[in-house]
Amino acid sequence: MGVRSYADLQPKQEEADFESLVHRQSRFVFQVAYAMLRNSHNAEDVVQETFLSLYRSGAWRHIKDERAFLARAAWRQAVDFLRSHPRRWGEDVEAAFTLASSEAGPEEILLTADSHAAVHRLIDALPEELRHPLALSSLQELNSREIAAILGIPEGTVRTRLMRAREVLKRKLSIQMELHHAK
Amino acid sequence: MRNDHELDELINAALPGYSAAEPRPGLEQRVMAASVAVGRSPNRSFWGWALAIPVVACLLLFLLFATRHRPSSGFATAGLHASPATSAPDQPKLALQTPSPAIIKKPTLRGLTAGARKPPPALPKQDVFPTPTPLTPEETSLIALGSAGVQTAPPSTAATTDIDPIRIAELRIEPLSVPLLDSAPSPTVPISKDSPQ
Repeated sequence: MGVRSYADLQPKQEEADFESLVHRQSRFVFQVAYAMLRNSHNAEDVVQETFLSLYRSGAWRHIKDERAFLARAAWRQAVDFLRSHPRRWGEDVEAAFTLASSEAGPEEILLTADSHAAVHRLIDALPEELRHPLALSSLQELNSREIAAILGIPEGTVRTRLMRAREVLKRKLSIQMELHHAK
Repeated sequence: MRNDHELDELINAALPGYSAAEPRPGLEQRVMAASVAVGRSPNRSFWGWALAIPVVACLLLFLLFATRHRPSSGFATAGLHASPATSAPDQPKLALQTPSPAIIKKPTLRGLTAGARKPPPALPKQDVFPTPTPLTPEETSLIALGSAGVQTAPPSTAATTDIDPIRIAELRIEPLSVPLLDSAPSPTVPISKDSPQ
């Protein structure tokens, strides 16, 4: 009888532990997924899939560093999602700048409230190897060591890629502004 | 052209907003509901394995019995009873050249890889000794000759060659003549001998 009641209690206890983990980390997992996907609905799907796979495998019981583990799991799920639902980043950016140049010009957009959105679109247009570290670095809670652990690359490589990404962004922004001044 | 500092500031200001999105309220409840529903639902993979394992075991058993109790082919007896002298010349040849399905082996990956390293394995032993082999053209023609029977004797090869007989000339010996003692020296006895041609 005693054994039976313990067996009944064990799944309940596990559910409670898992629920606690979900409450602690779901927002962080969502932000990692959103940084990769830039779409709230898709990011929520990735969050659900991440926690589901954890629950199925039971791997969550043996996690040492929750944040690093969950961030890596979410990143992998997001990458899988992007592979199965390829997004045409380049077309979006081109469309954005075409619209901007026909209406107000790139610099005006950059100087107004839409300037951040324009930078975001430029980030979206970066190659994957530069975009992923930059997107993860946009999360204030992640440093370059944690980003390296998530991406599975050396920390020095993360720093190099971040620098290159910023250089590319600056060059593109500069070109857009030059064009506006020429007009 | 704007300086680097200004561009850096712009990027730094825009970067936090890149991932600044909040999930819809109730995300935790949705995740938990989905997880618990999946956890309590019967495991599909378990039923899949539960069905697959007996099916595979039955298949293996069937294959095992099928290979062990394979009926013996009629190849050996056909080869034993097919006598070239008594049957038609075409029948034994057909029986010997058509292999039994039991002898044909499908090439397997293991066999292909092993075949490159070691010599091919010996053919399985047959019930008939010596193992029947296809007839050579000479044997075939001999069977045909035997079945048709010898009609005429082969022409003699000695008659065709033309050798002249050896002729030996006759010996002629003349009678001896006794000469006088005080006469002239004795004449020599002429012996003529013709040389053979």
